[in-house]
Amino acid sequence: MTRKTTTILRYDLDNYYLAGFRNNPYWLLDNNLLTDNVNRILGNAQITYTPLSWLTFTYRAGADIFSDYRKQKFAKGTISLVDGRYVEDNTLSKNFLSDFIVTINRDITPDLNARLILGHNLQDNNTSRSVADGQPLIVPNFYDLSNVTTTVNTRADAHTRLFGVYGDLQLSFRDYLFLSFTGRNDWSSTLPTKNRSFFYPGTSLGFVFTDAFKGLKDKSWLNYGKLRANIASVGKTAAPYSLLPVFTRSSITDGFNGLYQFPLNSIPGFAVGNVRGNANLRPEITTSWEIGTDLQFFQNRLGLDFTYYHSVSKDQIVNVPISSTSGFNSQTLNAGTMQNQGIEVVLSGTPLKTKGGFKWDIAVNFTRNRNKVTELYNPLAPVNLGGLGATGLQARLNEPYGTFFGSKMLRDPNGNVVVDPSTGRPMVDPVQAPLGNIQPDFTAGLVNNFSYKGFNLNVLFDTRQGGKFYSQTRVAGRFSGILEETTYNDRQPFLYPNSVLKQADGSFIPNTTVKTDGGFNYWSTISNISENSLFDASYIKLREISLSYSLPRTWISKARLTNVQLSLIGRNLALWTPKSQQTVDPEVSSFGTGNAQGYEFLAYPSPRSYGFSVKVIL
Amino acid sequence: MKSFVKSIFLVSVLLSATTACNDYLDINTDPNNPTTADINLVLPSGQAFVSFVVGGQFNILGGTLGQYWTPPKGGNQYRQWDQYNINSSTLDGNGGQFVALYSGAMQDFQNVITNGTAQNEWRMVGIAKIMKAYTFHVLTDLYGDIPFTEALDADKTVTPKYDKQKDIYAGIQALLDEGKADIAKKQGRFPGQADLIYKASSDADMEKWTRVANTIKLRSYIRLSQVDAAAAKTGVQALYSGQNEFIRSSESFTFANSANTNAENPFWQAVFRLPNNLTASKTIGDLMTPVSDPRMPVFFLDADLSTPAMDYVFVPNGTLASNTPDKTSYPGKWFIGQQFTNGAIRGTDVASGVSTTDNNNARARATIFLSYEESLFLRAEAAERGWAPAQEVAKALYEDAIKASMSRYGVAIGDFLSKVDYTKATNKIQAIISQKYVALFGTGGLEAYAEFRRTGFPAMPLPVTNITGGKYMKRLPYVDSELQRNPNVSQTGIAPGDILTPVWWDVD
Repeated sequence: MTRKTTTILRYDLDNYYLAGFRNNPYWLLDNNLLTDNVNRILGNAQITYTPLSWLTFTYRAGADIFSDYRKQKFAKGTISLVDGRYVEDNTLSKNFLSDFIVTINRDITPDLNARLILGHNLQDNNTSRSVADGQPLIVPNFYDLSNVTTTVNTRADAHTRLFGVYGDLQLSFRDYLFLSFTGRNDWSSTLPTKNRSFFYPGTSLGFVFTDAFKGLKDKSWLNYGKLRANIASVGKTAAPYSLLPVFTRSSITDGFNGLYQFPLNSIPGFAVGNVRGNANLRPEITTSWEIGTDLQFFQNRLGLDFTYYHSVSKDQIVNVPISSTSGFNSQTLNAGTMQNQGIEVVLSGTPLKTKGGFKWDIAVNFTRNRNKVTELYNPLAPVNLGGLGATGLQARLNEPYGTFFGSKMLRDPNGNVVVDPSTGRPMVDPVQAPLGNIQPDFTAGLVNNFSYKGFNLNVLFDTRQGGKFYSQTRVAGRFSGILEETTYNDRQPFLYPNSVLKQADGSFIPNTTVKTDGGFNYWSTISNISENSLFDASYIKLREISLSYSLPRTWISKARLTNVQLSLIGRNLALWTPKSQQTVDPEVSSFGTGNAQGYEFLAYPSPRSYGFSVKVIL
Repeated sequence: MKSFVKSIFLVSVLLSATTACNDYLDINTDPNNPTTADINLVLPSGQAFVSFVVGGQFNILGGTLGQYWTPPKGGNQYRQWDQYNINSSTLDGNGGQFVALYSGAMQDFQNVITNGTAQNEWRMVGIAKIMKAYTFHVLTDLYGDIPFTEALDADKTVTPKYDKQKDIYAGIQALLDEGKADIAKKQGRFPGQADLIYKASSDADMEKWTRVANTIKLRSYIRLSQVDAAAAKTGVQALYSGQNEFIRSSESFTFANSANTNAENPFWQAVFRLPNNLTASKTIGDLMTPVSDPRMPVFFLDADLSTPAMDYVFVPNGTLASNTPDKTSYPGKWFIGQQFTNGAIRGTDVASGVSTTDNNNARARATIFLSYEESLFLRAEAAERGWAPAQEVAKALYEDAIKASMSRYGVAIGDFLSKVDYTKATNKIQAIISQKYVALFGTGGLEAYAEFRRTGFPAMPLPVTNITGGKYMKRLPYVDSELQRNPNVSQTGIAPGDILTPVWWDVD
């Protein structure tokens, strides 16, 4: 109380109304702090021994050790934690790497060089995390584990090892024909003993035909040409402890911080874990081949890189959510096989280059990927990849990875929306359905670079066309009524456009009488139907403009400097999205890089930024 | 020397690549969670899951749909529930109740059944079967058709089929009979402290479990009174003719909570985490006020806490916050202790009239699954319908039930029985269900909601604001996790989000 009279608080708790859901954010900022203290040590040591001019032994050892100590404070008065809470969350991570490499490099004939690498690789990764979660606080605003009534301690340790041997033979003939063979065998601690060893080979061929056939080079329009082809496999192992089901110390929550924590009144209890083990897990192997060419024309004024690729990932390791009615909630599976094929094209050129020093460079890149799930562990059931609320993301047989699946509005045979005869709001189709895919049709970029006497202007656009995403911002905006679309018809009752009513005999008649209410309930119904929260993920972005100026040598040479460059940089300067989606930046994934892509969950848009830089090179 | 070192190194690499390799890699055992656990550790976990869900969020859900509760002016946590705005995401996700009962509670019971059967631990197996049957009963009453016969057997299928509620009801009866038969074998360990319900450590304690099984059977048969009265009657008569006993006085089917942190009554916990989100509904108020029910001071708080006379302010369900009075009657101190703020008065203030002792009592209240008084009401209904033998007298059972409820709340009954006189009641079933409704207040939300759907008693007005266009909510919608992970859910023919199609036994 005295504080109130002496200082002006930036919040007014007594008159701040948030309906019991949330604390005032300024209050949270002042009271509930997370401190994070990270210490990291990186070390490397290498011994090289060259007994013969063509023979080298190398031993390399590396360590990456870090600790991450977090302290989270919840003051008394925090909504849903009214008596306060204090959490210490400490992680220690130790990662060791060892490589022993034998390199043999010899010219077999003056034209033919051979380089053979034989290696042995060891990885040991050890993470241990311990969490002490204490509540309630005894003395307010004092945060120490001695100051809580009950502390729940949990540990999560993970230790993995990988052991590999590999070989790499590279042959080059007269520096224009290159042939290589690689092979690696790994043994992983995280796979069942019977499946822990896996071998993955590769081979590649490169041919600089402009060097092989000197005659070609005389053609003035072609100055460099290379053909390349390769095929290779890569193996991937599983996360630790995926093989056996476990029991977990029982801890029961309701999503609102309510909790039964065993031991319950000193009676111990263990629950059957919810992750089903998989004692037959196999490594995931991706085999891909590609062919391509790099060409340079007209004294490097025009260049073309073209690649066609095809890859098959077999036995993909996915942590698949499964129906709780089976007794488990998820299982790590070799869920299926996925195929990717596509082209990548980079076209670069210099349309203008004057004697006066003006130069315009332009580069276009284009990528088109076609993805297909070609095999599933259970051909009848799609694999769930996760998702948000009523809209799930699935891998479905013979469809691209990442198909949205959920509810649709009920429609008559002509595609008109059927509305509820009592509420006037769209009805839900009893059958859930695929609702589009996250995969884009193509992505592309365009770079223009203009330079003139030390000035350099660089303009970068990029685009993604096609594919869908789920927007929780849109859902929340409808819920709270902050979106323009929610003012439709001034929030007064209206007839859902082109809607129909279902008759008792199963036929449909145009709806001319039953109006929806125009407010919260209408928008709530709309958002609850999955298809209404999926949007076109296409965009064009003005990704970056930079203008730089390098000071003339004559000005700086006295200061013994090589280069001084001043730049103005702007990033994410403009965004164009389709008319149907003008609300959010589609280029965000709220679930990181995991299985469930294509979800925007109240994410911040990519920030627009402006910068100024000075680069000084001695 | 150099070459010697070199060869040592190469040899060691080769060795590790062959023999030592497997030992070196055999580190894939979870250091934090055991791969085996005795059934005596798993049984309490399963029981706690049921208590936490049935006594916590499901109790609030049933209490809101069954019109014990409605949101006060400033509390919006359950406002959507109150307006029937419950969708497939509502009870799903982190801590979702459907998931918690299947992969939490029932998976634990299944573990006890499977491992206990292999070890001839018939006493524990019997208890686990009765708990499993009770849990299925809770779920099917809310969801109708659910996985039953193929559920909880991931080695066979991770997409169990959906069984008809009719078959699930038959299955529950069979499971209860099995549980009773297992207990009757008198073989295996007593669970003792690991049984968080009866601490069963003797055959006398095990008989309490048998009586619980009988009472759940009675409840399940009576639930079919409208859809299949003949089968209900046959079932109830068979129960009586088999000389089966029901729950006795002071051995209600309840789960022990305590005042210890993270072991408190789940309803108290919910109100503690999110206080001021529940106030008493006009529906319960209208039942109790005209007969001056002596339980009112225990059930409800004085709306303004400041006048000497108690005055109660009840709110019709579905009332918008803008139309709700500033001060309304919160749940009574028996349920929530000091977890409220009333204007300037906090529950912890002396002025609130609620003491720390009251608060600790509220924390430690047991979760009630099926009380003695409810068993008396069930028997009264069986008697009234003529399904019970002559020595079961409806009026006496009805009155004993009311007395038992009064004694639970430590309230003197006075002349209350004359105000709710059974003989004067024109509709005896209505009288029984209405008094059962009052007796279940605050603890038996799910049962109140189920019995309203079965009998239509007590009469409940539609929520003032509702999103169903003036229809009663009849079921919970299937949750997203099922819609997305189990294609068999479409066998039910229930559209995603459907809350209006009644379950099988709800026929009028």
